[in-house]
Amino acid sequence: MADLSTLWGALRYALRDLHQLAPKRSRDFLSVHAGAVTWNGGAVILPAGMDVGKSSLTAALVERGFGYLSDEVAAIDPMFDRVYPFPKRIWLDDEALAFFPGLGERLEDRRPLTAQVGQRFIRPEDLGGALGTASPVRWIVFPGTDRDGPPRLTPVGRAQAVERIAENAFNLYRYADRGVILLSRIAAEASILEVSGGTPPERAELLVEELAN
Amino acid sequence: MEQLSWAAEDAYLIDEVPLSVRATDAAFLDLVRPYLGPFRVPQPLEGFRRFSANVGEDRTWPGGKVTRGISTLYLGMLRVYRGRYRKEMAGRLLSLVRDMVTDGQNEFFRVRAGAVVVNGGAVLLPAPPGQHLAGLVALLVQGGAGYVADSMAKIDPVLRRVHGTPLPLMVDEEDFSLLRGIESPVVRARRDGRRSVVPPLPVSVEELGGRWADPAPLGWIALVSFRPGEETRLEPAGGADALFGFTEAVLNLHVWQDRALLFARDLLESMPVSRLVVGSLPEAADLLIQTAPSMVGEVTA
Repeated sequence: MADLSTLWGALRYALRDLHQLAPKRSRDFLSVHAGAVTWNGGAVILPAGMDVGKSSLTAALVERGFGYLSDEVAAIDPMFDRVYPFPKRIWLDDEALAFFPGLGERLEDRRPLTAQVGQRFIRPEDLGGALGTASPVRWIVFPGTDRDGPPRLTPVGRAQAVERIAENAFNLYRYADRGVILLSRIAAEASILEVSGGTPPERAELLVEELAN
Repeated sequence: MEQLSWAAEDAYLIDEVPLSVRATDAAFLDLVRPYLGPFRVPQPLEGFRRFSANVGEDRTWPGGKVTRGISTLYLGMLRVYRGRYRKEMAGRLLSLVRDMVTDGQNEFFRVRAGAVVVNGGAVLLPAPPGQHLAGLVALLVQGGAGYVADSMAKIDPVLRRVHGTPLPLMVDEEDFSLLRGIESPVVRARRDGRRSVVPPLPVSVEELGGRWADPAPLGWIALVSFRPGEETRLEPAGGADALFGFTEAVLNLHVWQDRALLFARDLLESMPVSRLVVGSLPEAADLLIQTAPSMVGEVTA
């Protein structure tokens, strides 16, 4: 439940609501709840629900040179199957911020209104990165909830991937069966993995190695 | 308006758009029901928009002369029709319903175009704003083509199929005389001899003796120019001229922006494109019906 008893609680609720309203209302993109970055001309999407670690993994990838598209919405263009930027600021809480030494001090996100906020708002340039451009999906990586043990990658089947992306779509109902066909087309052209274990930076390092191969 | 006595109210849900129509004379609702009947719901749904028709009473004078009463149609509080012809008022209502239903459908690439299906492939007829496109489509339907859209076609960007809207064709009054078995509406002349501007009137596919077609893959694009009196002909089209003509007909360019141009170019490069000069509607319909099978080929889904 949203905590509306404080100014920050209300602000956080409003921002989250706005960020979800846009992809739900959007009709010219199939919007998926996912982090998204670019790498060597292709897009990596990280579909997952809330509080799985999309934002921290996205930030760790941007810190390693990936182009930033979004930490919340993969906006898939149904005409050409490319992912477009939805470049809101990356939201990290203090726990996640601890994975990025020195980042908290570098940020310029504190304003009188947000002085008490529990979360920080991060631009790609704060991470030494930059915005990416619209790119075809080459990799689909599901961030797993299992954080125990070292980071590891496991392959995911196409049918299962389509189902899992569909579960995280904001506006699949607009596209109905055509949306499922679009997701199938994307899955057919992508490498599909699940990443589990490890911290966000460790997961990102593993992905850098995997994508370099 | 609330002081009026409403005889009845019908509620509808069409492609997620809830609306209702109430009238001071239930006979007006009978004019609308044949076209919207399949979308009726028991009661108005949340967020519905309401049409209110204050139907004028006709008066018969001694000697038998009839003066038609003035009817007024409102959408919410906005007056959208005032005149003496109920069928005209129904036409205005149905035109507005179609706009309401299609305006927000930006998950499609919307084109101001007629569309019919021949041999399983869609023939798309983009045209500039104006009259006669629905009349041409109605003639094509009577000529055996499957009906998709009379003046607003939707192209699905995922599968590139052409979709229509399940509403009647809205045909211009002066084209009714070209349609077999359809009664021409009253043509009103003003005292100066010119015709009045009349909203298009509804004609269902069933009234035309035709058939609805399912969404179909695009097979042929014919850019339509109406030039009454000129020779009706098909000319090859392509390049920047065709791209310009086609994008001019795109209704939601502002939504798709740069992607729209790439998509339009892709479409034009992947199928035959012609320019249809329409000197006469029946000749144009005959020419399209004869030519379409060879242009479309045998399209499979």
